[in-house]
Amino acid sequence: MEIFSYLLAALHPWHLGLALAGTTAGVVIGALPGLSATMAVAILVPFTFAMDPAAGLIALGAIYTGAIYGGAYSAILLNTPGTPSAIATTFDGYPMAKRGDGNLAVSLATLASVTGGVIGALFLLTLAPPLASFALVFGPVEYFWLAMFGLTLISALAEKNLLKCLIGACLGLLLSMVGSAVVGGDIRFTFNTQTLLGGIDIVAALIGIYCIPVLIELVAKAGGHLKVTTESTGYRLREAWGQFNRSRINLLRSSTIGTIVGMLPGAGGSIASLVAYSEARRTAAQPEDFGKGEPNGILATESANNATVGGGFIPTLVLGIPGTPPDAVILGALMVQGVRTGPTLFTDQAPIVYTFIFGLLIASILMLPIGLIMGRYAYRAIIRLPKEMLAPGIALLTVTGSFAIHNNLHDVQVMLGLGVMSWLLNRYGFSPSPIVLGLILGQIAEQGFVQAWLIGSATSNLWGMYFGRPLSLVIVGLAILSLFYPLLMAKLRSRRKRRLTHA
Amino acid sequence: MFKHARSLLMGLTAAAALSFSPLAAQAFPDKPIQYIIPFGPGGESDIAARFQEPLFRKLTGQDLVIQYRPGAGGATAWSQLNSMPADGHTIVGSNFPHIFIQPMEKDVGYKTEDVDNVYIFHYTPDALIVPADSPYQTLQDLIDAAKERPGALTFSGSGTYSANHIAAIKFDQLAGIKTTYVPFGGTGPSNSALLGKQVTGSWGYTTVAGQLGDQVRMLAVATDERHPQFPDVPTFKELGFDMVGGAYRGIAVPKSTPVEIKRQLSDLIGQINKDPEMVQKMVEGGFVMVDIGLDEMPEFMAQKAAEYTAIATEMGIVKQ
Amino acid sequence: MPDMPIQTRQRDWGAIVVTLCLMAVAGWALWEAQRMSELGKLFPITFGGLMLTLCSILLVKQLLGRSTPRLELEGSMPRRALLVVVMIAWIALLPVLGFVVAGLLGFFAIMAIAGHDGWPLPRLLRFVAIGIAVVALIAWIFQHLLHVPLPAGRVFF
Repeated sequence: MEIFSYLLAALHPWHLGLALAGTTAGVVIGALPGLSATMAVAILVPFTFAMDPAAGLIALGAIYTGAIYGGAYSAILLNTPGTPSAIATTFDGYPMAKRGDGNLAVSLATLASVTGGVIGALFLLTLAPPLASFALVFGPVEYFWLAMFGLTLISALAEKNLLKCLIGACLGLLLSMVGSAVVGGDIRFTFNTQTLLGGIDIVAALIGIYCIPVLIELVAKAGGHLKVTTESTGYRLREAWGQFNRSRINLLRSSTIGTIVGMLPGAGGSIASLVAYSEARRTAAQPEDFGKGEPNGILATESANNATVGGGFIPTLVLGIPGTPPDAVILGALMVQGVRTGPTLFTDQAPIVYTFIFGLLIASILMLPIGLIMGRYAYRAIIRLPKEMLAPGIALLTVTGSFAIHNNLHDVQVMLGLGVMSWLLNRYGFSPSPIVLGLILGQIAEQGFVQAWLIGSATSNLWGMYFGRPLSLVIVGLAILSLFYPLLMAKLRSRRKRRLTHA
Repeated sequence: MFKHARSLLMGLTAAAALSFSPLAAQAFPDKPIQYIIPFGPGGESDIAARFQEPLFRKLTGQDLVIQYRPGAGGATAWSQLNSMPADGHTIVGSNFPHIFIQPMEKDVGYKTEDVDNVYIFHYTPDALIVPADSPYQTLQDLIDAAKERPGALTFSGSGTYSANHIAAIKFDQLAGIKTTYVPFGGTGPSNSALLGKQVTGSWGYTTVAGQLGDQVRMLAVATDERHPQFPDVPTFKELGFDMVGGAYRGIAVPKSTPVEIKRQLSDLIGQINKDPEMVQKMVEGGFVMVDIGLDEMPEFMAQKAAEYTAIATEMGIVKQ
Repeated sequence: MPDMPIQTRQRDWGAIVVTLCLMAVAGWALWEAQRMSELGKLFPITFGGLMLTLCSILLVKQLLGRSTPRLELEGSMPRRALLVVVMIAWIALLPVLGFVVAGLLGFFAIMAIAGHDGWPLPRLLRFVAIGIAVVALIAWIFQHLLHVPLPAGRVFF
């Protein structure tokens, strides 16, 4: 079997060493807010030119996987997603950490990330060509509905304050429109300054909206940042493993969602984890626990975002279209190495491609020991550091991280401005997540909608464009279901209760 | 860390070697050069820089440190260009038609004249691309269809008022047809709309066909002569449409950089741009190498300015 | 932030001001949208309008004293305000003083604000030393390993 020779090639000590080093470096970079997976990959690219293509690819894939996973640390421990993919991890990760279960949350995130990474890589290994053609079925309308589906998550996050959550989402959507529009080229909401022409950077916004309020509250009170209980030591791996086993279906579903959304160029890990979270919540026995530290929430988001790595490589390797921004950097690096990218890659360069896929698989598995050990140190550091170190340290990282996104001071100003606004609004009951959802999904929704509008009017089939495509209807159906399912369940439950009391 | 030890070593050996060569007298560059790409990593500008980097080091013994400063389609970096150190050790990627169209359209914080180009090294020719199983075999098929149903043919492309958008409008004018241009957020999404047949075709570059291979068919390319990588694809010129161009890339420096330094930079890039191995890889990828140095620059700029002004006026984007 | 809301039936003027500000944002978005192209104004008008409507409903509820009350905060308000002021000053001084100097000043200022336990001299010295090391380390990592051109400043590096 040829395929085993590729597996053996991937297991070569040099390749293993690269995967180990790449994953470790990736975890560190991903954990620092502001440093994205794209940046991690771009920094590594020059070093790979000295390697053979397969080795270079393994190193790049490993750093990419590690960076996506590393984002979970800061999401859980600081309420700040290290990368946009980890937004939804804050929903349950931070509440868990606050009540003293931070180490359990990190272990769960590690197990989920490994699972997601492995499932994504297995999809890439076995089903890449058919999945790539499926990705192409997604047109502008489907992107629009997918973004709408993501927005329905607001109803789930809302609980009692639906009105305020909707207002927050509208605010986020308006923020997403700042700058020059991709479709139509309008310059919107820039106060006639050049600084806002490029729009509001999502990563800068994330750091501000999530991290600055944490920082403000951190300095205000004496006590520790996170609660420390007797269970706050150790990995609590047995507990995590038990939860993992009970949530196998959730993990499988979330990883599949991650792979599929990862294949869609321009969608990305943030949508993948939001959709997976939404679905996990909808199918859960106790959906009301989500957002308050429900382990299944972390399992869903972390398995989904790591599955996007394998998923993103599907169109990259099969079609020559990068699925995610880091994939674009990797495609460029391949070209400089003289490897012809595109559809012929899979057939002509089989040894490189398969060695790489196995390398990705190995890197995902290596994340288990690396992640557990590093996660433990990160958690200990956060609970042991005195406030007088933790607060200025976090502040330094927010400033440096938001500067490093575009090497521009302007992003730092946006970060702080949005951060203070977010703290103030939160005080009056406008929680930050709907604003962030609007900001992230706004662009995708608007571009999809307007592109569909252009194509629909050109072919004089506007209605058919929005409501006549089967895949669209499936997504619309899921969106409606997740919007009304919580209400429906609550109705059913209260009726059942009433019947019980009557009996 | 690594990089520094290595570059130090290389610098020393190179310095030793150079001290006997005529270049040594000029003492430029005498430290690493910061190469600012006005876009994020992974695009054509980045790829070009990655190709140049090792050659630059080989030639000068100095590192070429690639940095990304994306924002507002490149405007963020170009508006900061003239406040950067003007000693030749900071260079910025320059892109046409961006630096012409952006200042015409809105106040982006710089004017075209503010971008002082020292070398233009390649361009990616515009190309009209359809999926491989599209019913349109030739450009004429497509023009006939467009005449039959004005506005009904849709073409994806990257961005509004971009090179792709301009190509679409220019071709509509030349062929006397009306089509619908659908802007996407980048080459990736535009290509996936093309392969997924969400649109009739796509306005892209020859590099797109280089990447997508035989999944697509180029109907025509905007080069003077047929591209060596795609000998079967006719040029627009052959088919009777005066369309040559695409997105040009080069480097610019702050205006106050001394002329001698500009000349040395220009010559350096010129030398790099003739490296046979790099040229071969780039041509295979669909690029077309050009060599516009300091001397040819004023004329080239004037020609392009006239061309883009005409198009921008036609598009109605010139700000009043 | 997870502090339990306290039920009141009074008009919260602070909350009403916030709502009015949000209405102003939505109104401004609608106003700006008039100058946009047909395709460009579609989303701003839809969501600006929706936001204005929703805010009006909220305002009515708040005027009737029926909205969920604001979070009551524990801890020191002056410290919160000081933190924001320090962050603003830090960012404003970055291009003037450079990353390292501004970073050190910001770091120590926030260290002082976060300090609830007093500063015996040995502790102070130890923390200052750690602070210098942390800022220097971060500057070195970003500048040299990650190739981020940190702001150099007009006065110091």
